[in-house]
Amino acid sequence: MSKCRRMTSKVGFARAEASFKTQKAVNRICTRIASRRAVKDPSLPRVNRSEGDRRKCKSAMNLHNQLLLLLILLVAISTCAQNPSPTGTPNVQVQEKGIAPIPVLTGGIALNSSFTSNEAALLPVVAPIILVPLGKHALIETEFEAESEVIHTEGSWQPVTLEKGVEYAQLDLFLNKYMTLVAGRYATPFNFYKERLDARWIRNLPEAPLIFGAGDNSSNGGMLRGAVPLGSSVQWTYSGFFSALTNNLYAGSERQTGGRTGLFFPKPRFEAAFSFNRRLAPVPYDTYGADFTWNVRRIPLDVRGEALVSAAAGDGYWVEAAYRLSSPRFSKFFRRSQAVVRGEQYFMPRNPIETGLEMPESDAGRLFAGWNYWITDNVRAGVAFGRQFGSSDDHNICTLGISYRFVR
Amino acid sequence: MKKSLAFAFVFTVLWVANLAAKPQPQTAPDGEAVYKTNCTRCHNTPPSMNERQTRVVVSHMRVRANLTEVDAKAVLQYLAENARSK
Repeated sequence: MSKCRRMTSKVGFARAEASFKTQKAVNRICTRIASRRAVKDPSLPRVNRSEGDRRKCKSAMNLHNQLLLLLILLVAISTCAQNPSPTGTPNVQVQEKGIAPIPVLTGGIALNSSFTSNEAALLPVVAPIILVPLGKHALIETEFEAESEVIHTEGSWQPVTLEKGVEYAQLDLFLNKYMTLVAGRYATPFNFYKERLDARWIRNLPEAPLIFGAGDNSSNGGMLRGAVPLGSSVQWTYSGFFSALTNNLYAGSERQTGGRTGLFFPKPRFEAAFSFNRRLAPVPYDTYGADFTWNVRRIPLDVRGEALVSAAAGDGYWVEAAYRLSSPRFSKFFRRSQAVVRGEQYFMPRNPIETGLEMPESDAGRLFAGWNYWITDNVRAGVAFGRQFGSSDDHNICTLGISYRFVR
Repeated sequence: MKKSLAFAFVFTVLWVANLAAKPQPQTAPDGEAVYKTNCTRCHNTPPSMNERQTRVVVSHMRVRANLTEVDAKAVLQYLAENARSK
């Protein structure tokens, strides 16, 4: 106890001594500052100072200035940390979590039906996707698609057909922040429908556009793709590929090269792109494409379109608008709905050649109006009614469909 | 024509590699904003996934939708936080 008191008294004495010394130092500095002012002010009596005093005074002033500067910096930093950044982005660094990725089975199942005046068709589709990560910088992804056609026409059922094939089986290597090397079998990057909207649980209407046949193929080879920000308001997107000829029933490809390049403006969510495809064999020909997407920010409206120009495959375009009835003024039922309208035209090539593409057999135009309803987040039902105007005949098309997306 | 195309290709690859070598900005983009800007262009509703699945699916979409690494990480962070909160 006494030892403790002694210690306390010692500490108290030390504190008192330190306080006295501090006070003394402060007095000394004040005296020097006063003397400096006195030197500057001729009305005050002059104080004689030695060279050492001057140096000490200067260092004290420097210390004072540094402390003041440090204080200002601390206040500024703490103020900045509490305020949001001018760009509206939080000052949070993306951290790599130590969670190991696992293989994922995803994909979708869809059952679509199409009715015209003389034909009814059932079109079940299964499209499982397997994703296998290889560390942080590589990914293997593959999609297998099987689509059956059950057609009833002219009073009888037709033989059931089953189309199956590997949509893609590719290795993705993330070379750097803006570039990915893709090797293997991949969806050919021509316009955007094949890569982004082809999946049955994503496309807004069950029927694909008339010009879709020109880009509906996969390539076996290599591809470089990515996006590069050009400033804060625009991104340049690109993909360039080369494909080798492969004669395989489920994973065949043509010898072709090409790519897609575009500009994406994140603020208005507008993207415009240009595509080029050169078929190298057996009959060489070029195909040009252009596409745009505009996802309006103010209202839940998506406007998309594609155009095709080809001496061998024909010319055409489609424009689609989809409006999500998500506004609170609509009832809960309608808030899970989406209205879709699409208009399109296709013109045959003047000198048709055998391309192997699944294109319409005559000039055609089509108007579609559809309605989608999300029963749950993963199950969507859709109905669409359209009219096709062709050079040979005009007819109505009615489609009903349901799609299910899964992630396991 | 072929030479100029090859030159343009090599130039582009070098340019992108040079850009990638530059230091990244300290601040990350807002994940929710990046998700709404990029992902909702095609997907109406985010899928129900756990954090591990999210990591792989975002890598898949980075390739499919031409996302930069920074944007992909921001989306991953946003979706992972959502998955954890569910």
